[in-house]
Amino acid sequence: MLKRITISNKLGLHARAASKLVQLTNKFSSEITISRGNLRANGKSILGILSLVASVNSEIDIQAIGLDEKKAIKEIEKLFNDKFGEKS
Amino acid sequence: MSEEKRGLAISPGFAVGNVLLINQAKMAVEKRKIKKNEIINEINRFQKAVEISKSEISSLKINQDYGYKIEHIEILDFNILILEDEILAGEVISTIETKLINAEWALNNVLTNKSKEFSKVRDQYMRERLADFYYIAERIMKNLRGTSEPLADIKGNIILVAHDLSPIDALKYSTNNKVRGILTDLGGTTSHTAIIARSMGLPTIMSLRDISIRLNPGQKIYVDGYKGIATWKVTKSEKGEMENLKNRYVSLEESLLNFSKLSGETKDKKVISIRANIELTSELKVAKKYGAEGIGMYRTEFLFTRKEQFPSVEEQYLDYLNLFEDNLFDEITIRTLDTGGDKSGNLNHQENNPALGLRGIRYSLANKEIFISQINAILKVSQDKKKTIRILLPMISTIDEIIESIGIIDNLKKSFTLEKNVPIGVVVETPSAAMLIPEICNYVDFLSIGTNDLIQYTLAADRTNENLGEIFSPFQPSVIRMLKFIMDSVSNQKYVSVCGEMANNIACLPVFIGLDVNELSMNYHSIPKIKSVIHDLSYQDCKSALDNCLKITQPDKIRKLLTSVINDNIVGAKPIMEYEI
Repeated sequence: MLKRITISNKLGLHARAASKLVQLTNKFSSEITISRGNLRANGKSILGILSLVASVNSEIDIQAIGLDEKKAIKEIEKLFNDKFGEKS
Repeated sequence: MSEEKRGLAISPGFAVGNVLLINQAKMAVEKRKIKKNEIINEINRFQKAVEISKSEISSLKINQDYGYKIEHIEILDFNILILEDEILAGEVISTIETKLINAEWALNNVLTNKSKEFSKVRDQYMRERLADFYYIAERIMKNLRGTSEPLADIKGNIILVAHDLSPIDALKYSTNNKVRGILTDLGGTTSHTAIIARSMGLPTIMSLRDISIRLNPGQKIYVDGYKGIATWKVTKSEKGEMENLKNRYVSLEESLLNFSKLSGETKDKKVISIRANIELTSELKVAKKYGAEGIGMYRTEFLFTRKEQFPSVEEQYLDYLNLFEDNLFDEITIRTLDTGGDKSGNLNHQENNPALGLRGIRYSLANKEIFISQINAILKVSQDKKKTIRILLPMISTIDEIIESIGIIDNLKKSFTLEKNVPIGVVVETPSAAMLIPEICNYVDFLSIGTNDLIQYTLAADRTNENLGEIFSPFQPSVIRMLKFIMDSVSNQKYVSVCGEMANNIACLPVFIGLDVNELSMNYHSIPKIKSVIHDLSYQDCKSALDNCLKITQPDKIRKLLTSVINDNIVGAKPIMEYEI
């Protein structure tokens, strides 16, 4: 399952947001890949996500393959839409 | 064909062993090839180190006493996530498996690759995250090292190779008897690591520029600490050559030890005392072995700078007490703290011109509690051991400094019951002191001419400045005349010693013998050679050579004249001259 998301939180996928994302993705058994342009990263690796250097307004693709892929995509999308709990 | 590289010969000796690379970016990293059956053990060590690191960070998180804010907790979480990261752990483990290297090396490899990836990133914020990786890697590294005894798995003799080696690491490794030599890219003669290498008698070469990236772990390497040449990739046919060289050095050491038994006496019975400069009390034994007749100068800078904090009176007392262990020497001169100039340590404070700043006695008098602690420790050892300790005050430039220092020492003496006299001397190393010799002699018991600084201040030439070439030279006529002026001004037959590089320069010997100095104090390894040369010289020849030098105005001609005096006379030391040791 594939979903395209535009990053809306001000700081982008920085350390704190990436931490939260990784904490979430590791709850699922599905294989999760996140890509931005030509860059692809393991969605369960903090180093991988940071290496995408995804800032505000950049578009990323989230791919989940596995039994819980639907649930995974849904919750990941929610985390992005909630701007990772950032105030602004 | 073998390859070789020249650097600074820091500590004499000849050694052969296998390269152990110590990578010291922020921490020392041991690099070692492993066998296939060791893979599991290395992976276990890595995983254990990660687990320990994780629980360390988690315990920080639980401990709310620190009053962590939510942001702090998130930073800690971020750290834990990196520790749990599949990429980090996976890459380290596969590096161990495929490259057959130890866990420390593998971790370092992965870290280096990651930092390359991240350094390409333009985003400054992301680049700064790199600091977190280093911090985390350091923690794993620390815990990795905790899981194994360093060097335990290595067979055969070891040559430590590093970009730069901290004094702490040098000390730690050099006490292991597998370690036979040290090679570093950086570093110089006066660095603390050099001091330790010499005191441990480890053949050492520094300033080799890129040796640490040219060598591979486990590679066999020859270290010629006499000439400062490292040789590797030695072929079978060249091996015999290296063996010959080694044997020549062995016989050289033998003849040096024979010379060490000589007394510092010329053909016509003019006596000059030959003593050693030391920086660690562990050098006493080797100094005695090489024929030192006393300790002409125990430098105390290393004692003061090897820890974060200054040593207490008690710590100093215990250190000075070691000077009389085994009763090797009856008389020892302790130079009080001479910080500043090129002798930088953690005492260094920002000054525009440190060589002309708060150094030597100036520093001691501006920080009296340090000076008092040092004098108290010295006096207590003299009292308890009933031994003569000479106190030497460095960097004197005014009479007031002498009066104030002696006032403090005399006052402190009242608290001790001293059986032995505590002679006080000053280092004559400024032109100002040289101009005040008659008055200085009224206050002190002995003088020590510090030639390195005396040349520097006489010629206004920094000896570490490579652009100055021949200006900083002991053969400058102004230097020879300055020495003559000092010796002519000495009154009351005060005892005069000479320290600094000039004291162990063979060509300078006729000058000092001709000037009637009482003592030469030098690094212990030069003592046998100097004794042998003195043995072949005559006082009369030296006197006339000195007289001739005083008429010459060009350093080149002075050097030639003195060198010819040596060449015309030496017999015993001739075979060892080619080694310039």
